[in-house]
Amino acid sequence: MIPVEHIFYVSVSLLVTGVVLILTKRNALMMLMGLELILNAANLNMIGFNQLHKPAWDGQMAGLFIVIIAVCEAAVGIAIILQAYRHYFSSVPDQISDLKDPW
Amino acid sequence: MVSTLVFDPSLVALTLAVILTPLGSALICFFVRGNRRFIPVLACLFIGMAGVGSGVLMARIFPSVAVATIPWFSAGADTIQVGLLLNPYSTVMLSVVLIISAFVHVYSIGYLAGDPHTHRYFSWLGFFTFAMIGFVVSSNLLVTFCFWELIGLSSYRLIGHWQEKKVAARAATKAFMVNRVGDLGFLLALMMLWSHAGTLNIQELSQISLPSPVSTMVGLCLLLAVTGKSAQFPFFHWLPDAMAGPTPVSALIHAATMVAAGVFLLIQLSFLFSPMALLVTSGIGLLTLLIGAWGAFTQFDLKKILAYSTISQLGLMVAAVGMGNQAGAFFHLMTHAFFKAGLFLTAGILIHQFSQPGSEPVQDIRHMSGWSNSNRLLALCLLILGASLIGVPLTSGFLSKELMLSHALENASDSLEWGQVIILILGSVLTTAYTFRMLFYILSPSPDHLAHKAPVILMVPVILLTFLSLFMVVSNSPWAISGWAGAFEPVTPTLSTLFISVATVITGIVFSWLLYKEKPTADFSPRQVPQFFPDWMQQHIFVKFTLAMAEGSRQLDLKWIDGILHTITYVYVTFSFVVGWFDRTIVDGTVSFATHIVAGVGRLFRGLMNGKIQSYIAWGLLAILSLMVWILY
Amino acid sequence: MSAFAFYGFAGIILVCLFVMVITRKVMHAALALLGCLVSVAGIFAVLSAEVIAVIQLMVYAGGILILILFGIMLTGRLSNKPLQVQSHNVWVGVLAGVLMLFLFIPLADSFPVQTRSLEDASIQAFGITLFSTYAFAFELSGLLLLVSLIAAAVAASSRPS
Repeated sequence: MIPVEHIFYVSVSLLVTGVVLILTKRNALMMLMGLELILNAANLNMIGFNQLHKPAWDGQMAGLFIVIIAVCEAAVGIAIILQAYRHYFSSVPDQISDLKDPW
Repeated sequence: MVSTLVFDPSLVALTLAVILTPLGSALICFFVRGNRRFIPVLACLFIGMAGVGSGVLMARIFPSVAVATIPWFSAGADTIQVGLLLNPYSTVMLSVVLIISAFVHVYSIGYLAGDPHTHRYFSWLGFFTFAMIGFVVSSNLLVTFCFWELIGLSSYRLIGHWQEKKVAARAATKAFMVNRVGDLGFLLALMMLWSHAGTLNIQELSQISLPSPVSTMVGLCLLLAVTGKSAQFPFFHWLPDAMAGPTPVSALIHAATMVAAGVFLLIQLSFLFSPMALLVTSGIGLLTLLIGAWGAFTQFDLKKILAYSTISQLGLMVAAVGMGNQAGAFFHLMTHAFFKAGLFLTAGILIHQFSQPGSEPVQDIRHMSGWSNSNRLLALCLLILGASLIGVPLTSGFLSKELMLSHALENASDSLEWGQVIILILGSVLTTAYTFRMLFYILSPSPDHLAHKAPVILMVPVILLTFLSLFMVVSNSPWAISGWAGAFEPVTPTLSTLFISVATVITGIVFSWLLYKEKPTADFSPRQVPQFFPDWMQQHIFVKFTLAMAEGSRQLDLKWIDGILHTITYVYVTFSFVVGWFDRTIVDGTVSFATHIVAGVGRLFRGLMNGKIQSYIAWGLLAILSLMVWILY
Repeated sequence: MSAFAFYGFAGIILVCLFVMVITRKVMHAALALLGCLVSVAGIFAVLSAEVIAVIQLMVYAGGILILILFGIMLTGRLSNKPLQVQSHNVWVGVLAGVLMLFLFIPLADSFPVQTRSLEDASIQAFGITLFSTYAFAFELSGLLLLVSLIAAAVAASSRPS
């Protein structure tokens, strides 16, 4: 069918893009989007490699739980971002550096 | 002739008393404060007592030899014994010194009346007498040397008594310095004697015979000492200058006693001399005889004439010892002491008469005539004293000259010794000549008359000394030695010697009369005076040499030693600078470099914690990727 | 047929990813994210994981994305200031990306080759497996959801502090 390598390549590109977004974007919501991309990449990996092991449902179960976890974490993340925004009046991560070493 | 007398304690005590009395006089004169007017009289009394004591000693001991010693100190295995040696020479000399010292003390009471420092003067006179006596009776050459030095010290103080006169102070220093040169000889002789003979005791030394080179060296060194002290050639130039001191001092020291000390030493120790050394001695003595006579002709200063005369007569004595005639030399020493002291004291009276108080003293014989009419006694004394110096018969001086001449004639065998005789005779002629010149200038009548008489206190010593210059004191007969002095076993003069001596006297008088009957008054230039040459040598050679050495060593010190010091200092400073640089740059640099590294590393790691989430994530990602690489590959 | 769909969706994903990286406006990025999520759901469907595909659409595209949009709306300024990417971040990101590409892509060589054909995957079997083998995990995930719900509610509440 569809070779596993291709699915893998797609998920790798999702992963890399997600990492790049996290590292380079100056908006916390962009970081969150990157994070979602990474989770999606993992999910796609799970589902994709599941086809090597039919009729097992492991991959799809894992995928389900990944989604659940992603939801939780996204909710809490948004809540934190909103709270931080309320505090610092900025959604730029570089400007929220209170934990910076005073030296 | 001489036997050894056991010295019993009373005699020892008496001798010590005689020696220490003048010292006591000196100390009292020096330390007594308060009323000082009685000091001169006290000093005279002391010396008089000592003189009486010496007379007793002479009566008891002469002509035997008495010796007493006690140990003084030990150095290792050797012990130095000090003590008293009273052989005929020293016993007689003791009395001579004390008699003349006593007369000079009495004379000084009158001469230095009004002087503000009489206590100092009499104290040093007493000290000098003590030193002289100690010198004469000492039995150990080391102690003799100590007293020899004390004599020099006292003479320095006495010549320079009038400290305010620069001339006197310089003359005193000069005398002391020249004496010191001679003392080198004495010390060398002492060292040689100690190393070769092992003893410095005079009695013991006379028993030992030294090998010939040693005794020559010892003799020459002792001769050096004698030339320094007794003003022989070439060290005589201090004596004419020493006339700047008071006249009684000149009488005591430079006529009778101090300069005689050298001759006395020579007489006592002549057994140490080898024939070669004796030859040199007589050569020096004869040379000095002639030089002194030459000097006496060139002087118009009365005291300087007498000074040169003393030099000449001392040369005669030294030559006599060199010819082996100790008895004759000692006799002449004794008679010369009396008549020369008398001449000096007379000169002092004349100077005292002619000088106005407050101005320079008149000592020039061209200006000292015309007094003989009013002072006939003094003129007579002067005449007799001068006759004794000349050697006119019936005086003691005649006897002593006879002794020397006859000894020389008897022992003249080869041409050298005949040459010595010729020079002796020539010297006698010259002595007569200059003495006559002096007397002629002084005693001749002149239009200016000096009316007042000399004070009694000054006259008495002169009269006594004149008396002692006649033959009676020395001998019972005017022609040969007999009586108490016979103990010296002098040579009996023959008729030919008598003839020769009378002939010399007459020749000298005639010669002098012919030369000086017009009384030329022209001064002599300095180069015509014999004193000039040793003075010139001393100034230009020794003084300049010493100053050059001093300057040279100073330059050496400045350039080299200071240079080395400075170089070392520079090296040290540079080195410390380098070390400091090293410490600062390298050592501190290393430490600060280490701290910089640590700080840099710290800064590096601090940079990790910049509070930025994304950089944290980046570093975490790097770590995870490294882990994955490591696991997967 | 399914391969064509897969490659189509893959292409959409790549385009959307590219847009997300390049764009300066957050809204555009969110819409691109929407595209990605929908395409991923499509890929899931192609891979005969219909349940996950639907869940993906409902939860991700319909939930999280809306959440993100709300976040954008609540935190964004009215002037819609464009993003400015800092210089140092750029090459850090590029470096990280390149590294990861070089790290992961060679892994594809070691995958097992065989592929099986898709069998029937009914939602009934999925449900049975979920509530039997994975029941414990299901319950735990329910707990997790509850906790995160409360947490998010608390964290986002505006307290007078």
